[in-house]
Amino acid sequence: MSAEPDEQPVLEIRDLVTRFYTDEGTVKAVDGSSFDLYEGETLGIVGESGSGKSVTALSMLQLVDSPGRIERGSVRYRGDDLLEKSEAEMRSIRGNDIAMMFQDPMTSLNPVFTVGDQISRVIKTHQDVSDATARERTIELMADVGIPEPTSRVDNYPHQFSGGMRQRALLAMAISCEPDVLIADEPTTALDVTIEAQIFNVLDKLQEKYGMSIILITHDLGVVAGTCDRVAVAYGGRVVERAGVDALFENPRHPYTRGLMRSIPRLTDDTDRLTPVKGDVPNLTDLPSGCSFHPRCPHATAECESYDPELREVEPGREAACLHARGYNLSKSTIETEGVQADGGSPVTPATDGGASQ
Amino acid sequence: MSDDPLLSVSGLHKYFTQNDGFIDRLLGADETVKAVNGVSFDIERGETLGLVGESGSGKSTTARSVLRLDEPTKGTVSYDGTDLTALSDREMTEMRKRIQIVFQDPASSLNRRKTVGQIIKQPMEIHGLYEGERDARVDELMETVGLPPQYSNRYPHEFSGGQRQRVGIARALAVDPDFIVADEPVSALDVSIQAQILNLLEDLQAEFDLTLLFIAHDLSVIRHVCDRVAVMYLGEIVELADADELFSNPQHPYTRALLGAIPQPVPELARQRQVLEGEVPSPLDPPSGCSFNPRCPEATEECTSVDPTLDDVAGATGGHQAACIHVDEFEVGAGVPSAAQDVDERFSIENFDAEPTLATDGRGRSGGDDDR
Amino acid sequence: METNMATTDHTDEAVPAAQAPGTHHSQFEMFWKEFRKNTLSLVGTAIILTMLLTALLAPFLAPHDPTTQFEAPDGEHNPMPMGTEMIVENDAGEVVGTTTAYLGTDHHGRDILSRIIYGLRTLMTVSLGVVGFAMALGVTAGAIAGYYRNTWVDEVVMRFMDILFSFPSLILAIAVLGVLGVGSTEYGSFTLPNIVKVIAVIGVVYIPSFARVMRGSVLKEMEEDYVDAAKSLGASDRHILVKDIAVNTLPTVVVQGTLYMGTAVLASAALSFLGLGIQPPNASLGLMLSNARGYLYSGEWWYSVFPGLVIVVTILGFNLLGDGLRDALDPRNDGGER
Repeated sequence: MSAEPDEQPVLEIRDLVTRFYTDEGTVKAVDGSSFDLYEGETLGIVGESGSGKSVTALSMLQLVDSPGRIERGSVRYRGDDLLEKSEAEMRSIRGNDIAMMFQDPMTSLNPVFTVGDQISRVIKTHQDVSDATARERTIELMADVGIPEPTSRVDNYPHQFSGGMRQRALLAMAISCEPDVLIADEPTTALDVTIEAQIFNVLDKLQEKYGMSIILITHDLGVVAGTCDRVAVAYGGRVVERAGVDALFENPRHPYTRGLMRSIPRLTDDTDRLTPVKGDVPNLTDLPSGCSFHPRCPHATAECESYDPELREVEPGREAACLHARGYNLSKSTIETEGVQADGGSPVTPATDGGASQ
Repeated sequence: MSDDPLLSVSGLHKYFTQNDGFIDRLLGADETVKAVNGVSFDIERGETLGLVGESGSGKSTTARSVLRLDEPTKGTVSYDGTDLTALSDREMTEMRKRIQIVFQDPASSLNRRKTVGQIIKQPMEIHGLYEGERDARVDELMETVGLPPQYSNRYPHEFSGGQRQRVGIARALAVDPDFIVADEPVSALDVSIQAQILNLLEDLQAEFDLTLLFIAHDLSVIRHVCDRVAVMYLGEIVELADADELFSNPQHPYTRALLGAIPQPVPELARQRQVLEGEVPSPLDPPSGCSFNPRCPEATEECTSVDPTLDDVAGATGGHQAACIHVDEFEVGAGVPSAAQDVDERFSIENFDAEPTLATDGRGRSGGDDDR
Repeated sequence: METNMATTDHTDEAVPAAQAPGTHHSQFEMFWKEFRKNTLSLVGTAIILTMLLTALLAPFLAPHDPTTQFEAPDGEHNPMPMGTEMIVENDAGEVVGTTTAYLGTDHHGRDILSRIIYGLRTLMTVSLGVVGFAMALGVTAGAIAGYYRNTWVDEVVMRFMDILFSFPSLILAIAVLGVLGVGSTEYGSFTLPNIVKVIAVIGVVYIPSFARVMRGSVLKEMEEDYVDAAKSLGASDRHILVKDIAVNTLPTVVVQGTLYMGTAVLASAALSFLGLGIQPPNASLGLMLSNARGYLYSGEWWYSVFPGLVIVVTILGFNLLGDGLRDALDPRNDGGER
């Protein structure tokens, strides 16, 4: 599964840039993110706080609020650029073609309406159906997502649901119009592992039943390993590595991904001492120059401080954004246009050092 | 130093009443939640005991009852021979010099209107310690936890999550305690920061001879830091064993289910993730018999009536105890494959395998990099 | 990384210089940065500063003694319009010159500008007294109730507050003053000054508001782990409440106090208007309005409009300031989480 499928991607995100203009400065929340989502697959976007992964999802649906602004880039959904759509057009796409599911099941449901009402309302927003049909469909959906006794639970209020059940209800809401794409932003972060396993189990079945493509945003490498087909690793507002899940976990190419893999405590490993990634997650108002990972990177060289590597193919089907990643062949012209010296294809001689591109 | 355990918890119960209002309570309109229901364990000097469980298991309440942040309903907490539950407030205050806690959420556990220096200094002020050398000690503590002392006049929000957790640790160390409760100290932190804090705790434990009660929901974290592990479910300990024993030979069906449910960062293992059906029952209305029986794949008729006690597992090592009547029927060694791990090797810095041409280029080019 | 380096290597994996905290700002700098963003807050501040300074410096700013009654010019009668040259007499009743009444005079021939300035002084004193009184009692009660939540202490304090709260403010004041009588009251050798009585009767009904806000604020802070942290360090209840929780609830209380200043100004003016507040001949804006009522339709508009305007502007000033403070002190603007 490591090679990218041949067909046209469902979603094609290119060079997406979203910034927030705050008093503390400009927050480069998404700083040139690119990735694709293919038919029927699950793409994991994995990153820590400050990786811009959640804003990426919001930007795709034009849900970025002031002081945020989508500066440039394209989000092609089946060929159409979503960033050029009007608000009215987007409203009919959201929930219908592309649905979203958020992290916090406590605040995402309105406490004064029954769970059934809230699911039915989504159905009626996008489909011209009677109340009775909507209710029937709601009960069906609730059964689909594994809520026991849906015919009675449909009239329950959110507070009568446990955290796991609420997240299932949100899932029912998200899939109510049988969307093409489901974006799930940390859907299980607030839940216990045993409940998390249940939710992903349900998600898996639903994907099979409805043929959805899923973007799963998470910080948990274990979740990625278990549920995703391909992975985009986000750091400092952009994707720094893309690969099939097996290839990524077998041999990550980007030093950040490798650092994460090294540092996470593993159940199968009882060594006392972990190997942390040094330093702190970057501040998006003040990203380091050049490659934003360079202050934390054990492989950083002088040019990493100035040259900002773009995501490029390092072997068929996988990409990385690191000058030193194996397979990252940087052409002379690229380095020159980016203002970093490169000399004549051969190792740089001291004589030419420091003189050329001032 | 004696051989007695530093901390010995026996028959600890903590009940909460559901109704908040004083008048409701007078009228007797009570519903009792048995958050901790008869928990007993010892912690030896210098060891780390892990307390693991899902939300609602009572692990945090147990810790809070040990510290008397919540007053225990029943049971004894013997610390170095003294029963903490029998101490007066004044005596307990004195005892708090020796027992400290590190909280889960560093944003909430630091007073946002105090500087980091003031926060670290507070325990010394409360106990009248280090008079005249407090500022020097604040600097020293900040260095100990890896923070530059010149930032002691900054406010918590000016620090990152990991740095704030370091401040919380420095505060706990300020009074030179023997025993620290770490309540989910890394679960609010970014993945790449967690290892830093876990290593720091381990270093400090060695440096200051600390005994730790480490609370977590993440068994992978527990495996790395704990010597012994107690697994909690619905207010009770269901399994207790040395860490190696617990992970290689889990006996209680709940422990096994929990281990099976963990998403491991290895695709082939993660895809075999097991699903434990059902949810933790409401502690307002716990099931009869074994509290795990409604979800237990091994449950029999008997499990609905017999409430199992925590007993030694026959033939097992490492003080292994489990609370399940079917323990003897389970196979031995059904735990996590403790396979020789090539992880360190595979993801090591040395094996990064840098592109040779660029690496050569990089060395010679340093002079020109400043012009951008 | 070698295990035998365990005790020494934790500093190097910590904070590289680039990741150190950013530029340091004091709490006041951060507050001011937020506060000055809103022009209306600055306008409110300017108004309140002006009003407070005027009240404070009344003896220097007022052109005349507020109780001096000027004779109207021949053939005219008080109240006189703005800019009238009034006749100044000495103690013996001899005419010694004239003076300009810039804002006119009242029906007793007293200079309106001077009476407004002194009236403002009275109004500010009473309002600050009212809010200070209610805040001191309310905040203390609320803090204690919040800290000992769900105990009998909480229950007793808050039910008492409910009782106080159920009195309509002015009616309570009227009733109490009706019983005690207006003006200063003598209790043996002890004289209860009128102003203290006025402050207490207006202030008492605001106590529950402060108590509730404070209790809510304390309850919110009690949820924070730093309170548990302080407890686990062995801090006493008093220490936690005063040194830890109070600093965090202060902004809420300050905002509440500022917003209640506007209400207190209105209430003190209203009480004076009803003749139950500050007694003549002391200058009082409410009393001026009450007296001026009769002249509004006869064309002597300046008598009522200027005192009324000062009251309105003062209330507006407090409200603008309060809103500005609330926005700037809002914990969500603390900048911790984004």
